[in-house]
Amino acid sequence: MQASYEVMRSKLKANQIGYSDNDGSQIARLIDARKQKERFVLFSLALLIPLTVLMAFSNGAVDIDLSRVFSYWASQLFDSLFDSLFDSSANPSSPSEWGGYSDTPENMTYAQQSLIFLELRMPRIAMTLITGAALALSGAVLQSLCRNPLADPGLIGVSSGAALFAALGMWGLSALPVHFSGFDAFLTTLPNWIMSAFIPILAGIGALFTLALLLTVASSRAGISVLMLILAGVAINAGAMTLLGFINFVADDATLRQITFWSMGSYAGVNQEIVLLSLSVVILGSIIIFRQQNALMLISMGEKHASYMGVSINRVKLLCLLAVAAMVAICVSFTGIVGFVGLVVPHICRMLIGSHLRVLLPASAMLGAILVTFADTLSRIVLVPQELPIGLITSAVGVPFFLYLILREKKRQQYV
Amino acid sequence: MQRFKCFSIKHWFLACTLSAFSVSAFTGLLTVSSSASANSFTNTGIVDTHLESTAAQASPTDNKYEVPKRIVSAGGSITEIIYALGAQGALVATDTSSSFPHSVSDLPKVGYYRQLSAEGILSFSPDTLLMLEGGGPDGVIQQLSRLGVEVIELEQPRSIDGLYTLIRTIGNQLERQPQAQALIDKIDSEISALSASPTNSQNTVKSLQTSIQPAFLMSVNERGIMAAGTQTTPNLIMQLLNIENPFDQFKGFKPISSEMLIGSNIDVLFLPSHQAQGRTQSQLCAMPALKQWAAKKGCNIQIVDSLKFLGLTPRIASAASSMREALKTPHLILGQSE
Repeated sequence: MQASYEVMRSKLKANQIGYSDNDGSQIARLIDARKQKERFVLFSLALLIPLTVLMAFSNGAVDIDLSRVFSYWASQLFDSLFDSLFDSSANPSSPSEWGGYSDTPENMTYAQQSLIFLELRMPRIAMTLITGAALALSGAVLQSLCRNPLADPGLIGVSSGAALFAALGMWGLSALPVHFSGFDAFLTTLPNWIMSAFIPILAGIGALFTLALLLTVASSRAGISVLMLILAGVAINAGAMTLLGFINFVADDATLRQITFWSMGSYAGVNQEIVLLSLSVVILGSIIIFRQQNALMLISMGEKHASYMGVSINRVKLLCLLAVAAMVAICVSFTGIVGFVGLVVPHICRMLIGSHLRVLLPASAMLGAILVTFADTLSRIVLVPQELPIGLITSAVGVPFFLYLILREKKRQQYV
Repeated sequence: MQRFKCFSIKHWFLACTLSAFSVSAFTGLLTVSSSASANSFTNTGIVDTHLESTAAQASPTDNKYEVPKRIVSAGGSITEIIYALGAQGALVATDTSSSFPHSVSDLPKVGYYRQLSAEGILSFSPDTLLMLEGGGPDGVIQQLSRLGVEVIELEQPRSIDGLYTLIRTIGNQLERQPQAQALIDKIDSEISALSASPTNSQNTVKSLQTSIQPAFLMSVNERGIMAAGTQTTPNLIMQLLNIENPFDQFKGFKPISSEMLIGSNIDVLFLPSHQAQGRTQSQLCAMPALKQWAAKKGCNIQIVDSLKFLGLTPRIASAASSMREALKTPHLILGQSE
């Protein structure tokens, strides 16, 4: 069925499969070259990730001296170790011995810097990595599932459904207290975390509802038809946009502006709980997708061919759709809609590394993470102390590189 | 079934651990180098800038009060009130909707009050964030209060009494209660001067009402026009002048059709300056949305200051009196009123 590179190469060299001597070694050399290129791209992407993360850690509105903050952490760790090992009265760590890690104003400074780093910057960067990878991965999977190069995570309508429900929630919170007098009192009886998590929870419910609607429309007794999937996604997008427009019309100005800013996408306000939740969902989704890689590649040859080869198409489509919808829902609920990443990053990776899913999916995930983290860093440092909307920067950063790749492809194909 | 052996999980695991190891080794080296060399820690960080800037603000403001707080204000009306109370020495940053008085442009901006930046605000190490209701996003506000910034959400004033409450609250926060009361009294007297002015007796107001009808447009562009209905500041200004708002059928700012404009008896249109976008009255009247109205009634468009007319600020009485002045001589195009 699927031969590995080495086996095929050795068989070609040994003339066991039907190519002439020269052709065989030529093909083997091509396979070798391709494998080397893939290796190069993947390792350079993997190296870029810690570099981007370091750059993101050290830049921001607050001037955080990373080395000092790490020293502070080390000193805290050592202090606690010493306290546990020795009697506190016999504790030899005097301030001067440790080079100034005492409870002086300097240390309070580093304590505050470390707090800002841990509470604000690190969750934010973790979130950009996670959502960047999730969106790019979803885009790659959808493009191979729908066999359509224009598929992106917004195609299935999950992000617009989530945005619609979030807008409903924002409008409800502003309009209902006017009509129901006891609403405000009811709101104060709810536990604290519900009010802050209300909009993301609603957005998640909206995503689930949209997915259920999509599956209902697109699936039939014969299975999930991809064409029906795309059409249903388009219809759901249009419907959600219409309802959203209606909400925009009846809402008052404050709510209108709130809805606008929510949809523009922003990584502000991300804390550690949100990061943990997103990380778990995205890891789960990625595991599901990576297990379906081979089946997806077979499906891209044609569904009938894949089913003759033993792939259970419906199950694969359903699993991939569920994973993609879950990842997109999590991303959109907490950070709004970040465009461009899901559509273009898989194409960039395809131009760099080829369409083989086993390298394309990890490469898209990595490049998506790098792009969104880099864009978020830029949005935080370009116009200090303000923050630019992230959707603008991802496009601004990605479009020139994408254009360059397109032109390079065009030049290559001119010699065909 | 044989699998493609290009990259296995093993390789990924190795790559990730290698990169994580290199990052931690790098930072560990930094740590060791910084602690091994017995440098005196240079006084960087938040406390230092705090001390520096409070020293700079020790010089008294014009009212000879020393406000030790560091305040970030998010909301144009709040900033204006702070300046009116003379406490601008305590301000370290504002938001982008604060545009009056003009010296506010010297202060750094932390973004729009609905989309604040947490790290941006924290880089000024403030004690307090004075915010209009609806400031956000929510997560940022929570982060700020968790990191020790006192976040005070002030209700958006919707009436003159609401404005007085806002002034009193801000005065209590800044410990400037006498100045707050003085400001309230000043606004009160200005408003009563509106109705007690000799040129604005009951008869004149009534005749104004019957002869000159103003309306406030929020925006004019190729798509059409948006008008100010009830529960808006322009409506409040018209109420102060005892003028009926021709668009009182709806709440807030809503798009209306040009036919409605032509069919009504509106004589003068008021437009905020940020929507005029540098166009002159004649250019505005040439727009398809206003062309027929201008042909029927004459091109009587008044371009007014945005913050003064759209936000409920201490200058509301001045806004009302400038509208009244404009209405006295409507057929004379006065240009930027102020």
